[in-house]
Amino acid sequence: MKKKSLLTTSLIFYAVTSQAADLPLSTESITFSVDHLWVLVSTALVFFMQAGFKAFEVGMVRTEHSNAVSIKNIIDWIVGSLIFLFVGFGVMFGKSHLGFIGSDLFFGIGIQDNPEGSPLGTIFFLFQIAFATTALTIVSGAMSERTGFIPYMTASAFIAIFIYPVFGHWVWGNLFYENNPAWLADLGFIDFAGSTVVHSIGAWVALVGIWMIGPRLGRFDENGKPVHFKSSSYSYSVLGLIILWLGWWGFNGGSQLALDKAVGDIILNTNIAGATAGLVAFFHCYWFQDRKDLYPKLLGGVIGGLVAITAPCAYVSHLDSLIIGAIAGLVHNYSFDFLLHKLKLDDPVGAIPVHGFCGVWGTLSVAFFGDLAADVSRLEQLGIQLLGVVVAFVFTTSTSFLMFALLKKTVGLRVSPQEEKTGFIIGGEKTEDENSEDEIDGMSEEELMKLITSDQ
Amino acid sequence: MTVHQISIKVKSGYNLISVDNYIKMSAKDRVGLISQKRIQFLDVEGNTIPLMRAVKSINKAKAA
Repeated sequence: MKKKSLLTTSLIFYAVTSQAADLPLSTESITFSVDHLWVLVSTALVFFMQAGFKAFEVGMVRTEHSNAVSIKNIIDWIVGSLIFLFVGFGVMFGKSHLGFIGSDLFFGIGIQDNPEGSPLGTIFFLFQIAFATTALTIVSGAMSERTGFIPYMTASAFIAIFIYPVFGHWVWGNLFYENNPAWLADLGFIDFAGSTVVHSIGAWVALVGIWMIGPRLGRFDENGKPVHFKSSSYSYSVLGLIILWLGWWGFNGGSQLALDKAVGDIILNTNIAGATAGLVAFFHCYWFQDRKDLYPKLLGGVIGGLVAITAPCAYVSHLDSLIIGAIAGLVHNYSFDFLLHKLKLDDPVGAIPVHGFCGVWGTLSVAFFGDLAADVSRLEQLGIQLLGVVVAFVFTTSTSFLMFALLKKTVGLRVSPQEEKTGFIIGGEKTEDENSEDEIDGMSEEELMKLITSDQ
Repeated sequence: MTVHQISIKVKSGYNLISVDNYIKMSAKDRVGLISQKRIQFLDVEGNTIPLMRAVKSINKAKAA
């Protein structure tokens, strides 16, 4: 018995020690694994932001539209993640053609174990899918309550295939292949986690979309003044906001693509900017804007701060983050009123002030507050940042204008007035149009012509 | 009830146009939309206005 025990112990000892000798115990290997793990956790956090967007948007729209908004959000993920796998990722991160467009890595081929590519491989790809679908979700919120399913999904697909990855290539095209030319990045344009690349791009598509589709029925009165539409539940929006806030830790922290000592500062900066922006947006509205739209401004202000700090979070101090957040709160409130009251644009979830205007501010703030390279002055950096912002705006608005114009001409952008008023169900039974069949039944074309050209 | 906006059916979807843009359309196109029942006249809140009343209201506004 003793002999048997001794033999067993010896065998176990041999097995353990021989196994341990095979393990890669170098510091480099361990760091490598930790980086993988961190980016994977961040990916999960960014994916969880989809739940945040869903809850936030459902809370902001009218009750009868909450189902449609939810379904659109999940379809965004389904369509976005597949299309980005097939085409988008390659366009954004593939071998560059003249710095303008990627040309390999389509259908996920060559992403893992690519000797020239990112050592993160598929994990990098997953992280980028979560980013791409964030841009899509911004559009769905702004256009909610009146956009038809087919035009919306077509727009989503086009953004995932073309608009987001092409602009993304110009700024982040060198993230997978380090030596890839990316013309804006090569000029020195800095957008750490995507104030412009993700957020403004989504917002500018949405801006063109809501301009072309028009406001929700009854949103403005005869004099063009906004009519109050009751949001379904601010409590639900707050839940969404908190999920988004958590997700942002992964969004910005994960963009370091490594777990090093900078990650803590990045996440702290993110938190400071979001909190400060919310505080400033709330009290600014309370004291200086007659408390109009106080809750949407508080919630949107927080997200505006998170969006703004997304570009500079790795290059600024905590105090800088406080200032960037405070200004983002003001940018949010003024742009919110500007869109609604001056431009008469109807954005039910306030996506454009948050992601567009605060995204611009955050991108420019890199030049004011960022830790810049020694050979670049702040003024020069401001010029480069401004160029990136303008290019993003012009490229996105022009391509999305063509896309929406084509959709408007061919399939129509909206649901029927009846579906809009009562709420619509995607894929559900279609509501009957209210028309005046009886009145014109039996009338000839000549009689109709006479009717519409008559002076009385 | 004044006509404030007009909904036009295009294949599976709809577009919203202003009264001014409706008037700018040729009479033939307008007749086509009405006879094919692809048009709805809406008030400022989005309620449907009966066709006869809507057309007369637009004609009156045009004449004024």
